[in-house]
Amino acid sequence: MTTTGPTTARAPETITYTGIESSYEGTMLEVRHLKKNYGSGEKTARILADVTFDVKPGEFVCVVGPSGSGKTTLLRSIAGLQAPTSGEVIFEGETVTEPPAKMAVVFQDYSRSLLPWMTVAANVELPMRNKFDKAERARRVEDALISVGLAGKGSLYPWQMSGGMQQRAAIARGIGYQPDVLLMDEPFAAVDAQTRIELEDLVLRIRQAYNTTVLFVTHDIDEAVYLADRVIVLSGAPTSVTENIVVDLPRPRDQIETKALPRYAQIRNQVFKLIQEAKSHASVQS
Amino acid sequence: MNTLTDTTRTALTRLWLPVALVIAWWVSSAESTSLYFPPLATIVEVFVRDWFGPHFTADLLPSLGKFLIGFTLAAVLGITGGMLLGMNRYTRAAAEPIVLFFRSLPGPVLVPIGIMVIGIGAGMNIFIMVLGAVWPTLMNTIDGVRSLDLVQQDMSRSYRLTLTQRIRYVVLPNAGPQIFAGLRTTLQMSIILIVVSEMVASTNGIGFYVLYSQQTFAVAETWAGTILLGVLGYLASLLFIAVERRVLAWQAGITKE
Amino acid sequence: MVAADITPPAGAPAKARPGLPVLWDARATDLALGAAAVAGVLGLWEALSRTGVLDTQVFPAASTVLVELWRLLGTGVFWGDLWATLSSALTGLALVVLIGTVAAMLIGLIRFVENSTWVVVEFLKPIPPIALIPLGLLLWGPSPTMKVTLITFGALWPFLTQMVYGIRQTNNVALDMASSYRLGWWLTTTRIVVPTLLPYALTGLRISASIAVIVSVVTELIGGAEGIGQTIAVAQINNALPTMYAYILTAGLLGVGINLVFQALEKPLLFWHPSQRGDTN
Repeated sequence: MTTTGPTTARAPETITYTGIESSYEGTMLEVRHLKKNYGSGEKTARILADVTFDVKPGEFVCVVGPSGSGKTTLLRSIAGLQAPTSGEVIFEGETVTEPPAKMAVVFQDYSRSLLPWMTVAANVELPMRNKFDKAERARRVEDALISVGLAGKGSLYPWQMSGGMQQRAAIARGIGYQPDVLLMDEPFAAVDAQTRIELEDLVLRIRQAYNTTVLFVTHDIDEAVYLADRVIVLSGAPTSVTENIVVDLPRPRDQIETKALPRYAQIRNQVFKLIQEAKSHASVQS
Repeated sequence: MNTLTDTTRTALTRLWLPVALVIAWWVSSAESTSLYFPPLATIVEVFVRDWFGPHFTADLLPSLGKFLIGFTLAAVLGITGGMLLGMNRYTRAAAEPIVLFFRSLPGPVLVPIGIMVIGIGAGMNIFIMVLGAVWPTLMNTIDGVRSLDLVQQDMSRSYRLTLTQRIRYVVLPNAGPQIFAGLRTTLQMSIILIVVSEMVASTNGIGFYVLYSQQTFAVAETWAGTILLGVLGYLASLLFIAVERRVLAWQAGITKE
Repeated sequence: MVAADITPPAGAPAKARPGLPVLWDARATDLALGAAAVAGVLGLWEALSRTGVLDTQVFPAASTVLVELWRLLGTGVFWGDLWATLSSALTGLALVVLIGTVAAMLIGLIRFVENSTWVVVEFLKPIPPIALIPLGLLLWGPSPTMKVTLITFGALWPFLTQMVYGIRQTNNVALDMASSYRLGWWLTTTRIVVPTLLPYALTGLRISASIAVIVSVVTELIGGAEGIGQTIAVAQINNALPTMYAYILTAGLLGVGINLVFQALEKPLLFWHPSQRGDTN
């Protein structure tokens, strides 16, 4: 078994609950003038016009935009799953041309991204096969499942679980992969409101425990403001970055207390207004 | 009404007809002097004499051996070929009409070619089985590989699974249900082809025994051989279903949930 | 939503997928590739026979076979053979539809019949129809009766199985709806029972049809009944190889033709069915 990338202090016994610690110093992720068109000639569909932003190590960044603003296209470009028309994504100092080893994606559609023919433990273990030996994998699967609250559920199949539990398993797979950046593509869009709240807090706890940098794409404004250190607001298609808002709310966050803060309402309204403007702008344009 | 009597009732309703049919056959044919319908008792007697006797090793075992080799080769070739052709859009498109042609070709018409190329014997029987029965599995594997979900593709790439891992853990199991549907047709086709090729191009095997009996007007032997083929076809199908249930247990689970 | 995010604005082709060219382009390419591959195989066959790599005593050149097929197309014997094979298959299929529909209704609607016939049906289903050829020859000789009987026996099961599934389906939700809206006998039959049954019937019939052709050809090949199969056997014995290959080609094209006919049938009849709505992703 080969170990790819720099080894980082990620084992649970070295968990640090304060400060930012990462294998990489400097800007973790740079998105520079990203542009993406589909088709050519008269039939060109311009999805991303010019998207530029940075993510610093340890940061929790949420990307929000109106529906149809190319969020998934943006995320697939960042993840190295498709090549942009122009512009580039730089991850830990290197231009992304294929999916990087220190990046993990949690997909929106957990029922399709988890493999139904494997147990949850096998699903979590699968991406680790190129990184660790068997004993190490078993230990890490166990840890990952514990940290998402699925201890002892590893032998179940995904389809024996509720939607919320399946998405927990998908998150466990993501963090078990030991990424420097965790990309999450509207991960809670398909679960019910109660489960969604639980999962939001779970992501915050995991981010604390593993010190992972998180880039979280969502269309839900409350979710974005509640989770993020910084919210990036996108315009409608063809998409560019409208605004970059620092969320200076205290941590740890709490579903009731944080959302009761006047500052929370202020930021939320600001994001809301920007999205409404983006929507009306987009509809005028098309 | 408790469940025990319920199951007994179902068992009884399921069993009365086959039992009645066998008894009816036995009784009605008991005094038969017809050339074509010998008494069932005679057929059973011949069956036991031949198939629990010399023909077990002379014909039954060779047939089974050829069948196992032929079916396994057809299955392995069909699945690997389907994987290779199916993973690439262009090879897939190029292969389609040719595969469709051979899939639609009634396999037994290949038998004369087999006789000319290889002659008569076990090698030819196996060759014909593979050549005629590989296509359903090949075609279904291609379809199964193509049907790979876009999210699963993204997942495999973003977690940097190697090609072997992708095939083993993602592509192959995903195509599993379709591969098995193809294998089932390949199985039926293999049985047909082994019997046909033994009938016309072999000096042993069950197919040879049955056709030879018919040509020499050994009527009870013809009946006994036909019954044996029926029983073997039934057993093969049972075995296949058991394997399929085991391998595709996850799929049954999904549809039940 | 993923779909919303990657749907291009109006004017762009709706089905364009990321990283792939527009769809009709892809289809044309696929067809061209398929045609090129067929031409390539024929060309290779021709070249190998011409250069003597393939023994022409076993594999005559592709051009020889195609010329022979062209010649045969002008002869009455060829069409007679084709019709002998096809007519037995069609007669067998008609019997399959008749017997299968009645049996499926009895099995699907009456619990007692279903349970009683279960063992018999499950036992008869996997029996290779080919196994019955010697018995059929014994009883009826190499006659159309023998052919049609064996075809009916061999091709019955897929149709019967599908029809039983279909009848079970009609027993469910749609009928509750029909009775709650008081649709009446005629509307219930034409608007609910038939449309529900149709996809199952067509699937079953398609599988049964290809089995019917196979059994038809084999009974001719082994049993010596008139038709394509017999001509193939005779041509082989007389060493008339181009004729033999031309007939083998015909047998394959007949199978392809039957497939295409059923596809063509399914399109207009089942336009509403998910399998026909053509989400070719």
